[in-house]
Amino acid sequence: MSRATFLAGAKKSIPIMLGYTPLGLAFGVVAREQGLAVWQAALMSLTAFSGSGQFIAVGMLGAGFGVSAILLTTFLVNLRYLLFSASMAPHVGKLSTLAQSIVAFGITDETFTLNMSGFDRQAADRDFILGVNICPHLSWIINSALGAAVGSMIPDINRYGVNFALPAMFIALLVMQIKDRITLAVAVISGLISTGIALLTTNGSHIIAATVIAATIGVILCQCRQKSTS
Amino acid sequence: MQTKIYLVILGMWAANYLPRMLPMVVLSKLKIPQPVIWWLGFVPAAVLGAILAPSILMPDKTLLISWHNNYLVAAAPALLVAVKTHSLVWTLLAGMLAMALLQY
Repeated sequence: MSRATFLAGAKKSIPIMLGYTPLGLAFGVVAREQGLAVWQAALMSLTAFSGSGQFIAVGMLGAGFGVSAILLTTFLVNLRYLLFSASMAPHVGKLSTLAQSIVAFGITDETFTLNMSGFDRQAADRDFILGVNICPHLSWIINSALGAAVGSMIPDINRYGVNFALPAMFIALLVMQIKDRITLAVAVISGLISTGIALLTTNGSHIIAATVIAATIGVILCQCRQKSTS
Repeated sequence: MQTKIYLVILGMWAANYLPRMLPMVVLSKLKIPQPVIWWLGFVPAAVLGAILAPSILMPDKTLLISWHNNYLVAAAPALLVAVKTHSLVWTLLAGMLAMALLQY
């Protein structure tokens, strides 16, 4: 373990640590709102380390969804990690399987982007990646706990718009996902299908059903576009 | 409720760790077919759309498309800021500020 390399990675991750501060605080506040204790919020931030996944999970917990629906939805929204992990794979071939499974734990949208940008210039280094991954993770955990602790001290916290933190978060995450017209179409179709199903059912199946249908429509649109251009 | 919270926390570990770990360790040796890559690529946008639309169009479980729906109205400035800045933090602040003003 090289301390200098680890610290170099840690230094690179400072902007991410700062970025996770308000998000972690917001997660803590929302988690507290939805009935989690301070240390439960921190524990979830330790084990899951996924902003979007955790916001969805606590939102659905508060809304009374079942455990399996919550986990399946979280898994689906984080399917992008499959892509992140797969695209890092060719760069980490020299690392042991154990090291690979440890650095994989810290993959988020932000740490992935930072790590990948480094791979262009130099070979992947275990200690550097650990530095990039661990410091934002610590920031995420600590701020989640702080947010939950402070949030529970403020009465009627929804007066300050906290009840819109979750939708606002999803709006931002969605906008970041929209890279082309087909993705935009997929998101809109999914939203319409989901709302339609939600009006007719009450079991929480609308999210998963709409996702599968809309993503499949997206693949069909891609294939149509490919045929029309080739 | 407590058992449920712990089940979710435990499950969240698996649901978030496995997709991060398995491709790096296992799938790196295989070639994923293009349509599957596309499908996986659309899933995040589709899930987010599917969660977001009902939460702002039907906050009280019934469809409410009107100026009286604070969630729908607050979504407008949040969306604008999100498109302009691509920043989680600014979008969060804009949306919460709008909601706080609407409820004032």
